[in-house]
Amino acid sequence: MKKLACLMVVAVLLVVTMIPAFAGVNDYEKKLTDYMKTAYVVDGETITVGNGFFTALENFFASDSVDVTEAQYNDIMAILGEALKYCQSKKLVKIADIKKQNATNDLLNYASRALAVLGCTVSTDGHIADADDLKSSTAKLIVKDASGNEVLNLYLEIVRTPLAKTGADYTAAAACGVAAVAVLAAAGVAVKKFRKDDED
Amino acid sequence: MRTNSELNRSKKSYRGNFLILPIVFLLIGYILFFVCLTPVIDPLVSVYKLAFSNANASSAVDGTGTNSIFNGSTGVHSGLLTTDDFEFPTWGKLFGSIKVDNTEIDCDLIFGDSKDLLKKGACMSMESRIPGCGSGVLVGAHNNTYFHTLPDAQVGDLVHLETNYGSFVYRIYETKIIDTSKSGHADEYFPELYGDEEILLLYTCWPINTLASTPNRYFAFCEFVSGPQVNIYETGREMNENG
Repeated sequence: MKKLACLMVVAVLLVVTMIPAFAGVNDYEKKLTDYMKTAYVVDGETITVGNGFFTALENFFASDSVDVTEAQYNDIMAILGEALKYCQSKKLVKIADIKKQNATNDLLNYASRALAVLGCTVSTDGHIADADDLKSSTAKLIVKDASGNEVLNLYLEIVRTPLAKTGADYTAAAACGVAAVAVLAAAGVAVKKFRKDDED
Repeated sequence: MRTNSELNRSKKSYRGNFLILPIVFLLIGYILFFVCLTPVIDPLVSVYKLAFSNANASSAVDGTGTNSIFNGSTGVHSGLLTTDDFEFPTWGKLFGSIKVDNTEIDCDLIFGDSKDLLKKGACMSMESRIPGCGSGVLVGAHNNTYFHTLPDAQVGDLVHLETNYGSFVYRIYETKIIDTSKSGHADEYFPELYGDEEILLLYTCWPINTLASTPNRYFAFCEFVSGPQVNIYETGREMNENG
């Protein structure tokens, strides 16, 4: 009997693991994106991020790598509820408020906890200060699934466009140019100093 | 009169001036020279290969390391698909190819866009829909490689997208240059990108021969001609399935 039960369990597990995650945006996933689009209302105005973010999120939900269940939906909603209260208590209305209130890491923690429910991890690439200032597009939010595959790669700016940089990148050259000028200036100072020493 | 210790110090100073410092600055100079020229030489090499070799653009760029879910044309030109019918692409996956009439554009189509992915082919922004969803599809590529000949395409020319789930055809109906440094520039293409009509937006940096960073983008707006429809939502599938 024990052997039979054991075989049954193994058979069930085999079948379950063979069923792929449901592809497509399911009702719970749709509810989550709708909530994020509409939940934060201040003085009658809804505060949210751009269409591009939600499109990317739905593309992520549509893939086979994730299929939100009711339990996961409830867990994530609880975390989003906490995040919403946090935003309200800190009065985060504008993006500039995030820096003013030093809230970047706290918000990333909420995101990290919510994504952990799905077995995903979140990390940033670039300089967080850039994300606070919104002057640079170097800070990115990278989400990886349970297998470690990259599933989302978004710039942390809110006011932005989804256009990639399709021309040559000269940032390194510009930085090196500045460094070269600094070295030449240092050389000039050194030469001047040594000449002075010689004259003495 | 200088003392012996002053003379010794002077000798050391000369050693420093004429031996050590020149060597140090020479080394720093070489390092700077190398680092500065690397980003300049790379695109120049790409352009050289495009201009003077018989190879197409794809051989002048990084064609390694892309996970592919695309095995050539599926032959699916119409009908209604759900995401159960095919593998939905994920970040960095090669999921199709793109070909534009009257240009030399014939390259891989990759899901997601980043500096690394743009070296491998034309990249679809994850912030846009995949073809067939009835909304904007945003595809970009470098002006010095894959989309170098995009401005050769004229209004009326066809764009052919082959994906791992279907074959799509679009027709160019407008081309324009958008200065992304101007405030409100997004208004010039966001309505199409996030509208309710299936529109393909192809873009690359402008001027087309520039190697420098530029805020200008050359856009080709394309209307939907044919291809299967895709429903990514579970809700409403029954309705669709019933007609």
